[in-house]
Amino acid sequence: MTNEDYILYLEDDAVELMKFEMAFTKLNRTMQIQSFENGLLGWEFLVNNKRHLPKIIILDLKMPVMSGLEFLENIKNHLSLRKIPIIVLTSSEDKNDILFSYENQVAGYFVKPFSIKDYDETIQRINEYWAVSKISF
Amino acid sequence: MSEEILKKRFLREKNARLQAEKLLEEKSLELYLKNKELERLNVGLNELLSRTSDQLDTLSYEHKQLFENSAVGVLLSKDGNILQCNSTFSTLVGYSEEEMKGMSISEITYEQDVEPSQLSTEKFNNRNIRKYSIQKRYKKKNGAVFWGSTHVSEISNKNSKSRYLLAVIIDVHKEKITEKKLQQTVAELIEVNDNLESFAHIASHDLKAPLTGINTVLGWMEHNTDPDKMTEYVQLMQLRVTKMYQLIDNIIAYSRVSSTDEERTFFNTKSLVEDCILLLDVPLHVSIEFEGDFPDIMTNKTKLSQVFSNLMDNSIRHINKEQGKIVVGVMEDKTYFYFSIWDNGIGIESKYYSKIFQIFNSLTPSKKSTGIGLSLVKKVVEQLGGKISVDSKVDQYTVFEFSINKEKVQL
Repeated sequence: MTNEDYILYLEDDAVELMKFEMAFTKLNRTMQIQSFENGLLGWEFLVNNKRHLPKIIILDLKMPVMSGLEFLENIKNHLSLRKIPIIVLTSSEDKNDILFSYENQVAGYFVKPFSIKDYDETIQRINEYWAVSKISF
Repeated sequence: MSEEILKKRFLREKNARLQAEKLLEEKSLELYLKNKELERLNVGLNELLSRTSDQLDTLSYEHKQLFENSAVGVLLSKDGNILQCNSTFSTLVGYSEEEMKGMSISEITYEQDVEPSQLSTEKFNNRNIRKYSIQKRYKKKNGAVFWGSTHVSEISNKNSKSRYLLAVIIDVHKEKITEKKLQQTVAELIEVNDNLESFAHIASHDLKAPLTGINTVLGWMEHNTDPDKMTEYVQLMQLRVTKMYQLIDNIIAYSRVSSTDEERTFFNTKSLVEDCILLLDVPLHVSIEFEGDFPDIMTNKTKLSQVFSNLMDNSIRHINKEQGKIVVGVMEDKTYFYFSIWDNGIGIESKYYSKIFQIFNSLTPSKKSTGIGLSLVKKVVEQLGGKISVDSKVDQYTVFEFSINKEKVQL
């Protein structure tokens, strides 16, 4: 990967990943998307790429091997990785999941909408918000 | 001269005698009066004495009545030996009052409670406390057991150094059993509640996710009629439909395990495992061996076959060697049967040992795993009074061992 800005998306469902890429392309964003199918692979990637970290992490919660919640706990206890903003994008509406995520300083928690139209809208809003936000590095 | 002298002497003597007589009279009156008083005092004293002894008699009679006819069991002991007990206690334990004299407290205490019982007596002896209470089980003459709430206090005797202990025993067997049942019910309710929560968890994710996926792919098909893409889309949907079907299938199996009413049959565990193997899709490069003496047991066949099927299926799916090997073994001791399923597969890192038994926690992204299997296995094993554990060495072997309480699977 070159030195371009990129997004890290941790998601085990191939359809969800394709859907995200499509929605993102529709917004004319050219930022690259790096993805892994579980928290452990994502974690290992970050630890090996400290010189070129993603601008933002999109995180699914229900993944095998290392779940999103475990990934969150790990990263927010890591001195140099904790500054990366993390947005949770999950189908879980469980109040414990929401609480745990905010307690671990997530930048936002979004439940995956069922219809594609609503999904595209959600991604658009997330994009608009982060397009005007300052990021600390 | 002499006559006058004689007269004088006579007169003097007469006076002296008169005086002496008067004195004597006075003294004897005094004596008489003293004597009278003494007599009166004596009568009073006797009266008092007899009254006190009457009172004492009544008092000890009352005590005896209290001891004897008390609605609670009363026991007098010294140095752990029974000196005396009342009829209530004698009826409770089924020994006669005579039989019980000289028996030790331990002899009428349920084996498992002997130690805690002796321990609290020791504590009582060492510290300067005057009473203590303990709930313990007593062993009746006929071997039956009952729960007694026991309150022990010391009877101090200034003249003697030995300590007498007075124990009051209340039969709380029914209360205790009710309490135990209540605790069990509460535990069951907590489990049911946990299950419901887990179910809400799946409803919110594991069941919704494949549906959302199918809906997404359908949306793409609507706007993209490229025939090359169609095969991929259909595959994506088929995968999700299959996943959902398996999930629902597993949820049904799991909820069946939870139900308490079940049919018990008598069967041989080796033939059960063999039946399971026939239904499993065992690849040609995997061999299955047996080790040990497989017992005949009485339990629900379907539930136990789910345990073996799930564990063996797990082994088969994680074998990565050219020559796969699974060993199903059994051992036993006085209380338990220990079954084990060993395989030479990929192994599990020790940090995941506890995680794998949680519901909906699958370690591998495999299409076939729904994250229910091992939690179902754990549930059945616990219902059979046993425990399940795992041991493994990455890339070398994995062995699951579970126990079954013999009492639960007796004829």
